[in-house]
Amino acid sequence: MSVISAERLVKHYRIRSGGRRPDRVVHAVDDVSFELAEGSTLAIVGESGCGKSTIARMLVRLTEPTAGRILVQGRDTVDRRAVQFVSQNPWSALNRRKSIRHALEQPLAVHGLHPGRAARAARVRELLDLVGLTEEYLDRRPGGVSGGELQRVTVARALAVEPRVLVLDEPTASLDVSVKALLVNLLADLRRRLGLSYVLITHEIDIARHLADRVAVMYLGRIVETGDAEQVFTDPRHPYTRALLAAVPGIGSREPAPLLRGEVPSAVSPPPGCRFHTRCPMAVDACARTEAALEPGPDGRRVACLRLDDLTAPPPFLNDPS
Amino acid sequence: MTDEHPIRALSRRRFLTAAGVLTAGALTLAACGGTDDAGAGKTATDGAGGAAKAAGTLTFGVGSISDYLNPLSTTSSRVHWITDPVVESLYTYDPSLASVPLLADGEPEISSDGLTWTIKLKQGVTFHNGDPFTAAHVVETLTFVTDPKSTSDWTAYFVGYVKKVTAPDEHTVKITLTTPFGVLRSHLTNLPIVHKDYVRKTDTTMGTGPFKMDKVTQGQQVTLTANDAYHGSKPELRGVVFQAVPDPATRLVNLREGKIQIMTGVSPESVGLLKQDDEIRVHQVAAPTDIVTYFNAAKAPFDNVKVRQALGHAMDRKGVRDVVYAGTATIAQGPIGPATEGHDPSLQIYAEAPDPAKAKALLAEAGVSSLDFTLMITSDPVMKNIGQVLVEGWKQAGITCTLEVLDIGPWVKKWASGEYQMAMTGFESGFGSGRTAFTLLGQMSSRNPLNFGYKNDEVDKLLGEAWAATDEAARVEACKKIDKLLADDAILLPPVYPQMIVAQRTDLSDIDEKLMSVSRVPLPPLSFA
Amino acid sequence: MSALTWTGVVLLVLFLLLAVFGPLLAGDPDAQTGQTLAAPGMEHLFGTDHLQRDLFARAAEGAQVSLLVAVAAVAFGLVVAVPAGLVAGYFGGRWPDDLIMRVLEALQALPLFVFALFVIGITGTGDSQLGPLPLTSTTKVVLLLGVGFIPYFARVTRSAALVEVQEDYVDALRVIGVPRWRVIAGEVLVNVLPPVLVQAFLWLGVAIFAESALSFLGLGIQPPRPSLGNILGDATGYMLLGAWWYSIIPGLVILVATVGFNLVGDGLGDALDAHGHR
Repeated sequence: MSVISAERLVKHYRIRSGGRRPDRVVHAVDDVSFELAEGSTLAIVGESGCGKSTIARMLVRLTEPTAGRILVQGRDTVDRRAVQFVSQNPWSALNRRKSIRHALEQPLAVHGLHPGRAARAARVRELLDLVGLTEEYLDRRPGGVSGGELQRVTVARALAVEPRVLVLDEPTASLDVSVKALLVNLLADLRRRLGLSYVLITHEIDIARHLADRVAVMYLGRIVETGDAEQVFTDPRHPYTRALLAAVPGIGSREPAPLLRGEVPSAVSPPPGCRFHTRCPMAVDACARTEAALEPGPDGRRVACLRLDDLTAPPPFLNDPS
Repeated sequence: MTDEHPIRALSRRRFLTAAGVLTAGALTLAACGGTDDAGAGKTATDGAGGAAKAAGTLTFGVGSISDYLNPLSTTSSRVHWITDPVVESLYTYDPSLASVPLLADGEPEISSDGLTWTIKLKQGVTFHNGDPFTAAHVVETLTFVTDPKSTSDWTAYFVGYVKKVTAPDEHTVKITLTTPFGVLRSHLTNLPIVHKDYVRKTDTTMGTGPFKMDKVTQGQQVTLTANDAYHGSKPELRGVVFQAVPDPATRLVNLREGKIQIMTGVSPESVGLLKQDDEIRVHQVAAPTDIVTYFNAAKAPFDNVKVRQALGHAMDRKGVRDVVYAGTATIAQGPIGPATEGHDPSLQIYAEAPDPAKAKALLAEAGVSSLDFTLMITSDPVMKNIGQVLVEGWKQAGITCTLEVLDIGPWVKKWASGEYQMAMTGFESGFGSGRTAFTLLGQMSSRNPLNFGYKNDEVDKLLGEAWAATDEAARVEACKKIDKLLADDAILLPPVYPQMIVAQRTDLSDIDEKLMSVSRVPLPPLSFA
Repeated sequence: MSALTWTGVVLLVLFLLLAVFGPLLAGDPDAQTGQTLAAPGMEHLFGTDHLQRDLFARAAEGAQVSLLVAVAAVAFGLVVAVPAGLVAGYFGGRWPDDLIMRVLEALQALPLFVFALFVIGITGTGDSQLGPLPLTSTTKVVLLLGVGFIPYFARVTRSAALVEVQEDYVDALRVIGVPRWRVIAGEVLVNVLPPVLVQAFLWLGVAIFAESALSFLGLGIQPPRPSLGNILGDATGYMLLGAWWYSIIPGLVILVATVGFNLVGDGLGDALDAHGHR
């Protein structure tokens, strides 16, 4: 059973142009659907501006979709206890003037959990313990805590209400390299122990590779490829996915990857047809006219490319070095 | 947040710098014991002093000049100082303050029942515009002040007493009364006769006096010139300029510098200073400049005479005399002061210093444990000072008084409708009542609509006798008695009797102090030495 | 701390000593001493006034009254302005912000003094009634000044709030389930207060000055209750009689207070900026 089911999500923002020019529309997300199976991790990857953060905000109900709906545990309602959020910058995510104790007690107070001073204090200690922090952190303010530890505090805060799903938006992007691994390990551990499901938004492919079961690749508001994580990472089909993965050091590129031409187009006026066609090394005329749908392929993969059949054989330079 | 910085700093700094500069500037200017230009207020026009003096023109500095220059519209001295040289009454005060005929020809003929007065008029008198003075003008003037609908405060003197005024011929006036009204003689000594076309005008007047209205700059200056066709002895002065100088300190400096030759509204504190100046003479005269106090005796706490008496005994009269008036006043007992008929110098009910013990005893007798009331005063500085001294004095006796300071308009409104507990203001009655206590006592009649709650049958009887009597001595006697009764009842409780203070330069001949005791500053006899 | 700030501290301390302890140490500000307009000397530190009252006692009492009125006015202004500014900042760009900004602009367009003259002209200088509510003259001054401060305090609050609301925790707490008003009042407010309080401190000086000006004109605190302004107002008439101390003293106290608050407030503001807020 899917713990989260996103159906044909659309998010358009209106930008007031002021004066006589018509307002402009930002096509942040267009027709995005996915499922999150219970106990699994879905990674949503892509460059900045592809709409993944918008998806995250919709999942945690900070914004409403322009069209489409999100079902959490089968229901289309706002359930603050079901889906929680961990964002990128822990110093910003916590009120710098309040203690860590306050940050952890607040969700309990809001939802009336563990009433009573003793019970609440016990639960707070438990939460700290879950993320591997000691009691001495309780009276500290965010300013006196290191990045990695503070991010663990935000995770603890998110866990306070006993959610089913954590939406993590670039959880390691602000952290030092050495600390990233610690957090990733903690997240993996928590998922196993608490039976959580994750939606992991990231541009860090190696992090995604470590945690994800399934992955969806987004470009300019659309999903261009989804599938089993390991498969997509070792055998990317969509030209964009290939370019994205080729750019990442460590995913075996013995030969230089084809460089993508040009910049990411504006989301206000996305290119007609396939949105990637302006930069795609495989683009043909038809790509400028027709939007490719996510074609289901064998092994549960879906790729949105008109020239899918021409791409089935993996190019040699992306072979798994092992 | 940082965006706000330059904006807030700039506008606030600018404001505060300006404020600081202004304050420092004002303080330095003031501290330099500045010239008359340092303070607010106008100065007499430069050169007006010297050149005008040479031309025989007197400059008279007053606190303010009313826009309404019709002497029939009010009895206030503010207007009458200006119009007094311009208009004349049927009778006037001679140097001994006896009433003698002026525009009237001889004494009035009073019928045996006292209800009809026939007055013959002097002939050969003309108004400033050449029109002959006839009975028609007298009738018009008297009709105006007898009309209950006219807004003049003269009506208080005539309405209800005068039934009809007619002119049997051009030089005779017949006044028909509702009841014998001997004090009418006093009223006719004070009421100016105005040309019939000017009776209802507001901004100017026309009379038969030794000076005529020449030029009026509203609110600032009024110029009079000598009337060469005057029926009496011609004045030596060629003209008089009344100049408004609102700030008393500036007025003082103008006098000392010779820009003005006479000044009224001399503040008591400056009397000492002026007396040291050889070029200045200060006149301090007991005059009908009264502090009138009113109680609303219809409601608590002042419906009980003992409470009023307690207040009277706890009143700090000495403080008012010494602190506010710098000694230029005398301790008051009843409402009638030394310049008014019926004053009894031997009356000694209240001590000059407060007697808290007696006050407390009286309050206890009245069954009042603590007295807490509001005193409604007008907003002029002298009254504010009196108020503050009285409040402090009563505080020492355990009586709490709160001051309510109002401008004259709102004060009158509340006074007329009885919306007060105790009310106090200054009032000059000389131009209306002359030497009589008519305005001072009249309100105490139980039938008077401005009397709230006071009823004393003896007082009513005596008031009737006083105003009906044609014999002055009888009137004085009645007023004396009334004064004592009212003082005993503590219904009119002035703290002191202030003196009228007028300062003049010595190069001007002396102002007649006798006439000052009826509020006049008689100008026609003056000349430069 | 800069020399200027130190100067401000000294001035402010002097003023506060006078306003807080002066009335306790001085004699009765209303009693007559038997000496009219006496110059400052051993017996009367600041001399006496035209009603024989000790000027030191009056100046001390007046300073206390002026200070209390200023504090009350600023407090009233804050109580109204800070929530308004918070709401405006939180909803920056959307209709609640527009609405609040419109109202603030209208309020700011009204020159405080003209408005004060208008209100006091209608209601009189003494006590009045606003329906069932009694308004003493002191209350009227506090309200008028407070209303005048609202736009400034609200703008500072709004600016600070606009920036603060960009922080992630504002959204994070919404996701946790904390209701909006709780986020604004419980979390954002505490971060927005420092610059607002610095402003409030600065405007205390302005408040003292403005109240003094109103009382000087006879529109503020009514006698016999002393205020620095109404003492100065009475004093000007006696300047030419040589009583220089009567005007200099209250004027000087006003100046010391205003400049003191100003300099110290600036110092606080500088300290706040130096500290940073991230």
